[in-house]
Amino acid sequence: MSEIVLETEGLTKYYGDSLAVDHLDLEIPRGCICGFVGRNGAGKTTAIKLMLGLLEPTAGSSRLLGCDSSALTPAIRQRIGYVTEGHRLFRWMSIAGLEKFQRAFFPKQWDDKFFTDMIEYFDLPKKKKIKHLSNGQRAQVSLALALAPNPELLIMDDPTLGLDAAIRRQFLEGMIGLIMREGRTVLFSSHILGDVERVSERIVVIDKGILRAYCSLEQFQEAVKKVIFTFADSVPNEVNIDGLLHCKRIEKQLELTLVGTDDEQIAEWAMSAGAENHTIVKMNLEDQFIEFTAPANQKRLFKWEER
Amino acid sequence: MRFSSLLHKEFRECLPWMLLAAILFVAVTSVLFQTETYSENNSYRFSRLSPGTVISSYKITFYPAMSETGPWLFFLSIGLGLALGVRQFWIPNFTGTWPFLLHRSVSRNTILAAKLTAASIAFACSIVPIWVGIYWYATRPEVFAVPPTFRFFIEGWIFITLGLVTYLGAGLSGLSTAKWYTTKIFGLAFASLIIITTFSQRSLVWVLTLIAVSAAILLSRIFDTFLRREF
Amino acid sequence: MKLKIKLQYIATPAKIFMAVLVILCLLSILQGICIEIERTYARAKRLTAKEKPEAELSQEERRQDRIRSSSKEFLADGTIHLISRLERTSGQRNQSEKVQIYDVNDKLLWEGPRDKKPYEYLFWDRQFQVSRDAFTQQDLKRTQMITPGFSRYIEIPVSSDSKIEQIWRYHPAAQYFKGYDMRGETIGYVGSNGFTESKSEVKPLGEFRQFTAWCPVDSYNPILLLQTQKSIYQINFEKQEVELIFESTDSDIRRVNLFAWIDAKSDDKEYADPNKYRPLLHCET
Repeated sequence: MSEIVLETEGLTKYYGDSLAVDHLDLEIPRGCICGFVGRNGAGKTTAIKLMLGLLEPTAGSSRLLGCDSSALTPAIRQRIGYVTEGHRLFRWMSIAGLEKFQRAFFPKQWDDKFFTDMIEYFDLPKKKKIKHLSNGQRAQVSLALALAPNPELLIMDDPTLGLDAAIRRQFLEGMIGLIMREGRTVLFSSHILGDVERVSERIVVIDKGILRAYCSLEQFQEAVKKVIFTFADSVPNEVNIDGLLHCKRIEKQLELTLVGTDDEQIAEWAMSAGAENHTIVKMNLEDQFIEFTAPANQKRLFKWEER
Repeated sequence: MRFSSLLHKEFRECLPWMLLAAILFVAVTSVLFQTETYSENNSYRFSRLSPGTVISSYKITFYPAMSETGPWLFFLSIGLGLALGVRQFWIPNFTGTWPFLLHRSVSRNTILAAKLTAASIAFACSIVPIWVGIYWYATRPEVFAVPPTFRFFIEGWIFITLGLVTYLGAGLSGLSTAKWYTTKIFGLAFASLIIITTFSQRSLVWVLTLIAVSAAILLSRIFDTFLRREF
Repeated sequence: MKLKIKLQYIATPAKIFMAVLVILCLLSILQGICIEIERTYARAKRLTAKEKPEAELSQEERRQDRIRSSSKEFLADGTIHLISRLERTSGQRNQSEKVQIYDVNDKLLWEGPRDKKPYEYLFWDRQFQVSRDAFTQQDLKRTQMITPGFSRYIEIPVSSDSKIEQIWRYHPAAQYFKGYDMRGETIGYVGSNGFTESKSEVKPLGEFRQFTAWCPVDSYNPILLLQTQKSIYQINFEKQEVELIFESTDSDIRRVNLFAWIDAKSDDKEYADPNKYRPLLHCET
C-alpha cells in the first residue's frame, strides 16, 4: 500500500452556526493527482485551508506528510506547494522579486531553470510588476512559484478560476510538468470539470461540506449514469431501484439518473417494471457532476427546463 | 536567509511611509531652524518684562528652543505608527495575501517578528536620526543661548515610542477578526488611552515605564492573536 | 507551539486588563456626558424657576429670601448686621452699589451706597494673602508636564541696555539655577551657598515651594523671593547675590504670605527705595 500524504479524519468546520465542512474523511496516497470538485460554497477552500493549518478545525483532524495540519513545521511546509485562490501575490513586487522572495524559503530545492523555463514558456517579462499583470498572467506566475521548489505535495485552490480557455490549457500543461515528475501528489480544486477530467486520476466531490464521492475518475464516470426507459402504456408511479439520484417522467418515457447501479440491475428493473426497452445515455463528467450534486428535490436549475 | 527575505519584503512595504515621514520632518525642521533664531528669542524674552512690576509666572516660563518641532515629531510619529500598522496588518486582509505569506517554511513567530523588526527599523531610520540630529544641533555652542536639556531629548523619544505604541495598537486592531465597533477597536483605543495618559504626566521614568508596559501588553496580545488567528 | 501556550498566560490577562481599562474609560466618558446633561438640565430648571415673577412670592417669602442671601458682618462690639444688596437699576452702572443694613431684628438701619456706609465692620486682613503672582509648587509641576510642545523651563533673564546678557534656568531635580551667557556657555550656578562657578561647588536650594519675581522700578532684571522647604532666599541675579532671609531649623515652613504686589501703587515713592522692593512677609512654620 502506498504512503498516505494527505489524510483527514472527521474534519469539521463551523463558521458560527453555519457548517462549512462536515466530517470530511480523505486519504490521498503519494503520487496521486486528485481533483477536488464542488459547487460554489461547497466548502472546498475551507477544506484546503484546514488542511494547510490556516484555519482551526471545529472537530476532527488532518495530516499532511505525516504532520498534523495545525502544527505544520517549517520543514513540512517546505515540502508543500500552495497556489492560493485568486492568485493573491504581493502586487508591488516584480516577478524577479517574487522569485527571489520565494527562493529564500526553498534554498536547496529551488529549481532556477524550471522557473525561468516556465516564465519564458508563459512569455512573461521578469521585470514586470505583479500589479501590471493580468489575472491569467498572475495565475501563471503563481503556478511557476509553486512548482519551482519541486514540492512533494501541491495543493491548488481553484487555480483556473477566471482564466480563459487558452490560458487554462497553458496552466494545465504547466501542471502536467510537475505531474510528470515521479512521486508528486497534487490536490486541486476546480469548478471546471473539463480540467479535472484532463489531469485527475482521482476525484473528490464535496457538496455542502459533505464528502459525496472519493474514487478514481473512471469509477465516478462509470458509476453515474442516465438511463431512459420506454413504456408501452404508462410510466410506473413508483420507482424502486438502488442508487436512484433523480427521476424524470416525459410522456411514456422515464429518465433515471443512477449512481453505482450496474447494468444487470438496470435490466432486471426494466423487466420488472414492464419497460419496452431502455437506453443508457453516455454523460460527460460535467453532466455527471451536476446530476450528482443537484439537490434531490430540484431536478433542473430553472423551472422552464421542466417543460 | 528566510528571515532576511521576510524582513526585506516587510521593510520594502514600510519604505514609502518611512520616507514620507522623514521628508516631512526634515522639511519642517529646516524651516523651523531658519525661523527660530536666537535674536528673535532674545527680544521676545526681553519684551515680556517691565520695571516696577511683579512678574507673572508665564512671563518667565519658556518652552525650550526648537520646541516647535515637538507637535510635528509627535504627530508624524503617531501617523507613521498608524500607517505602518495599517500597511502590515490591515492591508493583507483586503489584498488576500495572508495565505501566500503564511505558507512559508518558517513559523508564524518569524513572520510576525519580521514585521515588527521592519517597523522598528522604519522608525529608527526615519524619525530617530532626525531627532538625534535636532538635539545635537540645538545643543551645539552658539546656536541657542540656553541649549535644551537632556530631558528635552528624552521627551522626543517619548513621542517616538508613542508612535510605536500606536503601531502596535493599529496592528492589534488590524489582526482582530471582530467587528470594528466591538473588540476590534480595543487595540487603537488602548494606544490612545496611553497617549492621553502620557500627556498628563511629568515623571519621565513613570512615562517610560508606562509606555514599556503598554507596549509589552500590546505585543503579547499581537503575538497571541497572530498565532491563533485563522487566515 | 510551546510559545503559543506560554503566551496564553500573559495574553489572556493582558486582554482582560485592556478590555477593562477601555470599558472603564468609555464608562467614565459616558458618565461625564450624563453629568453634564444633568447639570445643563438642572441649570435650565433653575433659570426657569428664577423667571417666576416675584409677585408670586409672598412678602414673608421675600423677607426670608433677603435674610438668606444677605452678608453677616460684625461690629467691633460683636453686634451682627445683615447687609443685603439692592439690585441695580438700568443707568446706574457707574454708581456705587446700594445696600441695606438691617439689625438682627430685621429693622432697617441704613440704606445707601456701599462705600458710604456709616459702620466700621471687622474684616479679615486682606494684606496677608498669597500673591496671585506667586509661582507655586503646582505651577512648577505644570511646567514639567509633558505636552506635544515639550515641558517648560523657568528662565530668569539678566539684561543690560535692553539686551539680554545672561539667562538663569532653574533645574527642579537638581534644585539650583544654572546660568548661560548668550553664546550658550555656562557661566555659573546659584544654590543655597550663593553663586558658584562650578557644578561641584553648588549646593541645592532645597525642596521647591514657591517664588515671587519682580522687577525693581529702575530695572528689567527680576529679583526672586524663593521659598523652599525650610528657607526663604532673595536672589538678585544681576548682582549675583543670594540672601538667606529666613531659615527654619526645626519645622518646615508651612506658609509664606506676601504683601500683594498687585495692589501696590506704581507711583508710590516707598517702593522706589531698593531696600523696600521685597514684599512684606508673613511666615508660618
